[in-house]
Amino acid sequence: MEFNKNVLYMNSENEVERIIGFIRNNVVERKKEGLVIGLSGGIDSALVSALCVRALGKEKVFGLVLPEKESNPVSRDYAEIHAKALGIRYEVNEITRELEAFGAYEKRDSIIMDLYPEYLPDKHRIKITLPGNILEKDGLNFFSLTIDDGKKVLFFERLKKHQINGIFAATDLKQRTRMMHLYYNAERMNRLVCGTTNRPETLQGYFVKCGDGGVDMEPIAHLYKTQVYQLSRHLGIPPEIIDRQPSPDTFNSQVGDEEFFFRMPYDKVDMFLYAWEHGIDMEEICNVMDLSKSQVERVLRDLTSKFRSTKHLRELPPSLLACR
Amino acid sequence: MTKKPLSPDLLRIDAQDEAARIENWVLDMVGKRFRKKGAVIGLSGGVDSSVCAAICVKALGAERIIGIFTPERECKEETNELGRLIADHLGITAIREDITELLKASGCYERRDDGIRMSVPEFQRGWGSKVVLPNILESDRLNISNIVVRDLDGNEIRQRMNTRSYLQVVAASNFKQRTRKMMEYYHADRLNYAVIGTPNKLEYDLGFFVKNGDGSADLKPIAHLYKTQVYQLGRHYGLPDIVLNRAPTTDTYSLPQSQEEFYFSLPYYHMDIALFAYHNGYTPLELSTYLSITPEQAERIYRDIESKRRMVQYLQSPPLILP
Amino acid sequence: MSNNGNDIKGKMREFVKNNFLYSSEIEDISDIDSFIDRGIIDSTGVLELIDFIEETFGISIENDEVVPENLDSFQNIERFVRSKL
Repeated sequence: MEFNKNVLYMNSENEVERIIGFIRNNVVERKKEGLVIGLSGGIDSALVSALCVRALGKEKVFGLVLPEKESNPVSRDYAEIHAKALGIRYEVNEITRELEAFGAYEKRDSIIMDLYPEYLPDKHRIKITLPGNILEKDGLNFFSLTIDDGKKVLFFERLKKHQINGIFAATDLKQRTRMMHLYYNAERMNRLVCGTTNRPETLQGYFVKCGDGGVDMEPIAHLYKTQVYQLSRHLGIPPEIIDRQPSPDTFNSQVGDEEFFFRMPYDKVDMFLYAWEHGIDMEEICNVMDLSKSQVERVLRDLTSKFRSTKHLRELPPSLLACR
Repeated sequence: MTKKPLSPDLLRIDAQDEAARIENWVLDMVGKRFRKKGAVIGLSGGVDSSVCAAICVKALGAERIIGIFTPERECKEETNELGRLIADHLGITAIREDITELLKASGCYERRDDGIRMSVPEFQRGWGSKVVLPNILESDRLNISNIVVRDLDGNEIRQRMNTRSYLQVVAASNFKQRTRKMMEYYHADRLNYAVIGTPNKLEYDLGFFVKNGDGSADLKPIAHLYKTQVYQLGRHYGLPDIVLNRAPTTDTYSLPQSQEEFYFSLPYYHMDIALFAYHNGYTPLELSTYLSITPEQAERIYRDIESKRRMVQYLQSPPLILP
Repeated sequence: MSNNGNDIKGKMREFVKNNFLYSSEIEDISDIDSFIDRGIIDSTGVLELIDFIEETFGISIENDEVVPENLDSFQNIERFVRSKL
């Protein structure tokens, strides 16, 4: 099996045609009238909406922009710019009130206040990160909380399990609330909800069950991030969206996907994922990527562990039903 | 090989054996497959969630189970009371989360009422309402629903719904199931517990659940059981009579609405037999004899089952992905 | 009296057995098996392990000590904890 720096390169137009066929078939087979997509202002949803418009025409694609008070303001701006450029109908629906009714902010903040009583939710910003780049230094995954006041770091500490579980349970409400709105609109219009998860996110479980993972169709789940960029450039996605740092956009202090989840830049994630999926041998990975055996081993260990522990997220909930 | 004639006996299971089998499976799934520490169950006061709770208590221990009630302003208080009764009976922690404010914030009630007004323009906030399908035995008019509204003086109006109105009302009402499920996931995630799905075979097979609502779970312990069999297990576990005797409802609309009215058009014990008959190659004639209906009516039931199963295959699969 | 290795390993085995529901598997894990490779530990599993070790043995684990050599098997943990006592 070949493995080199260009192994992820595709013929853009062919791939676009293939994905368009997939989108059309699904909508037609299920006798639906179109699609609904959550627009985050990021490259994945920009690419998916552009593909859906190519597949079905702009009247059959409806965009939903669902910001909340901690979202990066740029998210909403970029989402609107792109929706207008595509000519699709879209709606902006702030979900802050609902999240407050859930107590999402409050639940998370009370955990933080136990750790740092001087925490002021209205003045301070927070983020959660994993330890640094896994290629530079080995280390198991644990989460740390950073609190800053816009000028300097006020607090940094590793989180205990019950604290991180509590924080994620609260912040996952954001993605799940969005899911509810996407489905409300899709169901009232007899449409499908189109997902925007890409391949590394899918295989590593970087999505929220019943949140951004709870959709009817995933047209780019087979694409490595590098390929998402390739197709986005091919389809003329606005440069500011392409150049934007990929991030979960969940915390009011900006954190990127690398710091929060992958511990490596995307181009490396892609190459490792490809190598792991295709059983490329250790020596070749080391040569092509110019890394040591111990570096490669620790990344593959992390990759395998994340894949295995999130396997159930990619499958149907088990039951005792015999095969149909 | 001659088939046995249709009868409720064909659905009878050895409750003790089956209970033990499911309990072992639940422990295996939750402990080994998911590496989770316990289970969260939405308690609706109905027999399905009650049986699921009883199974989990036996499988994992009562201290590792959480029952969640999610009342809202249009719920009957009885639901809550029954749920609490079950939680006490099983000795599990119960958490009450009133979701009224959440539903207001998401626009659930308002959007639902707007949908009703597309059919009944005079509909006022505070009136009762429910959606009803025509009885499939009476006519071939599939998928034409009616809305029944009741004003504050108790007068009822029944009106046919056009597609737009029906879709809007159902889509808005679905906020309730999804919000409930979000609450379950919230508690499950913070404790690293598994979320239990409570659909039985009838609901699972025919799509009587909301995607990302009650259709979502980490595991589904009774998805293989006919409703009759769920009741059998309920008796095996010694659940309170009041739960075992209560007729199944949807608890979604503000007027009491039986599942029969909304989705099945047959009482559950007949629907069980019809589904069993369909899956096991009984002819419409054989079904009609058993149910004392005409063969044409039996044929309509089979067609209804077929069309529901066709639609549900998407609800049951993970999101489609390009290879 | 030295704090013998069996004590530390014994406590760790008890913890893993009680804390994860699949206790039948515990007997099957040797002193040197990697928890990660066996799928016993994933990202939040590590945190639980760290919390327990700090509380039970009264030591403080620094961020840069959260590495497989210190935590990824019963033997590794025993060695690591002894070095901190």
